[in-house]
Amino acid sequence: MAESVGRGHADPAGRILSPGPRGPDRDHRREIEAHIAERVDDLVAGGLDRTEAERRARTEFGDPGPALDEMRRIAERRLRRRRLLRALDELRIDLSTALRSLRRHPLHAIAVVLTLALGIGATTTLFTVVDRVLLRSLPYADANRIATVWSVDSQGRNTSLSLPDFFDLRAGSGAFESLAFIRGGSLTRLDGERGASRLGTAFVTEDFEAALRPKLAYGSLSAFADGGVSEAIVALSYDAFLRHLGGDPGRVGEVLSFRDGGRRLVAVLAPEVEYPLWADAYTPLREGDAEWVGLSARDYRLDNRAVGRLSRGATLASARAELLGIAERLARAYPDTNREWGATAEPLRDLLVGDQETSLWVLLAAVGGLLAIAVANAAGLAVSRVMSRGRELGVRASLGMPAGRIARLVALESVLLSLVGGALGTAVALAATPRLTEGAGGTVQAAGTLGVDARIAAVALLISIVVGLAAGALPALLGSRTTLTQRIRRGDSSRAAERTRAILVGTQVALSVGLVATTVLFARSLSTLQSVETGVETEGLTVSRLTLPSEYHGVPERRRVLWDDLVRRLGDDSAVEAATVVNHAPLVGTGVLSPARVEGGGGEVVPSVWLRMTGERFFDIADIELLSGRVFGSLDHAEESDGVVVSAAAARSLWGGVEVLGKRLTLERQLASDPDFQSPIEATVIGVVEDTRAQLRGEAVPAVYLPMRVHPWTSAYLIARAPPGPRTEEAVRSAILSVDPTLPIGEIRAYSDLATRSIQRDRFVASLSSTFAALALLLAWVGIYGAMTFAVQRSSRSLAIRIALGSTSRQASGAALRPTLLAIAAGALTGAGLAAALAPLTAALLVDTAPLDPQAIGIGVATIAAVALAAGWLPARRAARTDPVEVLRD
Amino acid sequence: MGASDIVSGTLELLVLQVLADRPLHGYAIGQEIKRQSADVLRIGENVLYPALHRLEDRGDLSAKWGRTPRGREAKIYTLRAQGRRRLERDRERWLSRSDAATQILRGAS
Repeated sequence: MAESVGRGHADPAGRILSPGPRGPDRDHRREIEAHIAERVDDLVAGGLDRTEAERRARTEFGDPGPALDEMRRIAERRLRRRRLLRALDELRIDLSTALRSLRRHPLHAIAVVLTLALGIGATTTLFTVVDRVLLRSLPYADANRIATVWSVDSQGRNTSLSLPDFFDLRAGSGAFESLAFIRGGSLTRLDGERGASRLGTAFVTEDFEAALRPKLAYGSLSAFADGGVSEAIVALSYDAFLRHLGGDPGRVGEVLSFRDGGRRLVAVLAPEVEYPLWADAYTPLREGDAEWVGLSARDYRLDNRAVGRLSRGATLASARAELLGIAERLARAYPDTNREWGATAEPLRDLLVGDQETSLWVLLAAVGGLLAIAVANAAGLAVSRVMSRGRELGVRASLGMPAGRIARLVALESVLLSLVGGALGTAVALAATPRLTEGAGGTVQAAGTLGVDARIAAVALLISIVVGLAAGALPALLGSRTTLTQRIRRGDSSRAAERTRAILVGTQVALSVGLVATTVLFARSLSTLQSVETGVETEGLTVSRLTLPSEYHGVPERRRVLWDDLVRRLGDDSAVEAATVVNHAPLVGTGVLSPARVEGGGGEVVPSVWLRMTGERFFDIADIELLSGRVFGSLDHAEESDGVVVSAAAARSLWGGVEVLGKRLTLERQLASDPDFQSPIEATVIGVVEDTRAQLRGEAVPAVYLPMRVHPWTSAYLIARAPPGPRTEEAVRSAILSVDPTLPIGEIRAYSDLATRSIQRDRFVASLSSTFAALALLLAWVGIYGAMTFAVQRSSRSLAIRIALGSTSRQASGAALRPTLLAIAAGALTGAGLAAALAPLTAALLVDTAPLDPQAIGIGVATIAAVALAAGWLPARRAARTDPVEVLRD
Repeated sequence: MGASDIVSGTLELLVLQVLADRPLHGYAIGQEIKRQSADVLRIGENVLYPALHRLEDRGDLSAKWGRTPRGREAKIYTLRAQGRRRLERDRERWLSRSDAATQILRGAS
């Protein structure tokens, strides 16, 4: 029968009766069979014979296939749901078991949570900084194609380029699709009741937007494309927008008034735009503006920048080759100004983050080490816990709990603790990040206030889970593998656990040694920087930079009177002990260079010297020591004086020695940008003073000091001998307002802050790294203490037997602690190797400090030995005092 | 009227209604619907059994193997409290809607 009928519908019997592959299916078939049997009974009762009734019943039912399929689907869905529910239920039970067990041992829980909170907190904090500075994309469209363009001096240093050179480079270059020139200067904003204020301003050429395409907060930069010819316009940095306009977007489009006229505010840049770093405002560079003065000189290479966007297909290398070619042509065409000058390009990215990049990666590696120590510590603690729970887990296993579930139970505890630790750690990160931002300075500071945002929180969560699993994996493995009898007898398993703990301790020790040794290097490098002979005393001095507006250009007499008045007024203030001025103060990182010729010194290369125009008493107030001759007296401040004071370095570089009193020199020009400072100055040396540096992270520079009254400069640092603070600030402010109320007042700061700005990064690295090292030592101490206590506990029985059999307690406890001591020794050795391996990575961050330093590594090893001693003393003593009778009775 | 003509929601409602009086096995449920509708509604088995399983899966019915009045083994379906609540709720809704639909259809003819 089965063979005689087609597949489609009928031989339902054959299909129905064939045994179903699975339980539910068979059940469904039985149900359908019961249906058909009932139907047959009904039909027979209605008068049909049984064979005919059967045939009718099956035909009526039709092919049961689709119904069976549907029923199977329903059954499967149900099964899946049940499995999920059961799994969730198990998880719930395990979770409550884990929680209960953690509650019963709060000390263990607290120790693990604190350990992990430290590790995760430190990692999250640092990751926040790294994320903001290094990982976020730059706020410029297609930023990888943006490069800065530089002139290169005869010593291969990248320097600012001149406007004529820029025009030639732009005309000759095919590698850049757009190239913009940026002149650094300032605008003075006039704001009714608030008076005048100075805005660091980028005066830019028409390609500015095309080259940079920066992210904007409001408005558009398209009006910059016509070079500001049709209308005077300005764009503000976000920071300046907040400070000056209160962040009110309704004021975009308004005409703001500046000393040289009104400018319409067309755009506000996004907060993360930070090129050029000092720019509060951006405005087109127009011929005839005050900033244009002097720019047409081909050797005026100061405060200028160029930035361009590479054409598609061009590479940095091709651009560099092209720029160099053009520079060589220019050197031939204009030998007076361009001989030995080259040109090059650098990626914008390097300029913005390059300075921070190495230090941040090194710190991230350090914090990674710290996290690894925390994980090893948590794992070690968990291993001890698993072992001391031997009986409980053994009973669970013997009651039928599968090994996998025991492992899960143990791992779950670890993940739970890690999540709590992570939450705590994130809270730590929230508290620590703003402080870190303050300390970091530079790009980190420019990135704005760092907050822990959703991304960072997600990273912290991820770290927590991974850390929990990593710390839980070993104990879970140990907990699930051993059998009941082993557990109850405390046999092999505890030896395996001890070995595991020893390895974990070794790891912690190794990482700690590496961290400590590296920190010693950073600290030494920093102290080298801090202890350098700066030649100038910055403590107790307050400074403020003042840039004179255009009315003061071309009228030296007016400037002379102004500086005189200013110094006198400030010095007269009761809050100020003494006051002076200097155009560029030592250590602040800026200055003007002039070529200097000396009699008889007709060499090919004319040395350049740093020009410092100084007010009366400058050397006294800055405490720059006189080596020979004399410093300026009041007569030298008279206009006809030609006396100058030179630094020892200048004497050496100009005459090859320091016996230079009475020697004559010619400073060829002071400032190419200003007609006031074009004529050569003939001068006679009247004194030699000790060297100073342009900045701390740099070398002593050759400096020539001239009297400000004879050569009144257009900008200067006002220096007051008065402690920095509100009282002094008020004194400076009122002195400036009293001589000319329209002068823009800049920041008033402690000279020492300004002077140490260049080593801020070194301080940041050293302080962060020593924090990490201290935390690492703390964790290592906890780890070693835990391991030793554990070893003593585990071996109390064998200790007791040894002592009972006649060993001295010293021998016995030595045997018990030997594995841990060996682990510490091995770890220390590995750590020394690690520190040596890290040397090349840290080299870039060190000043006058050898990266591979046996002494630093020795300090690392000694520190960890001391920590181990401190941590091991208590457990060792406990071991030695083991009372055999008590232990064996137990 | 063929079984496929009955919207599945309606079929489920009818099943719940038939089971409201007493537990029944699948065949008897079909017969009862036929009887109570005076032979107008006939439920195809290929629709009935999946519907029963769905209702069971949903928790409206419980099912267990038992004996039919003829003494044959069959799966007996019982209305559960949840099914009874659903029946009461859905019955009201169905009746009011079908009244409304009937009214429209009367007017159209």
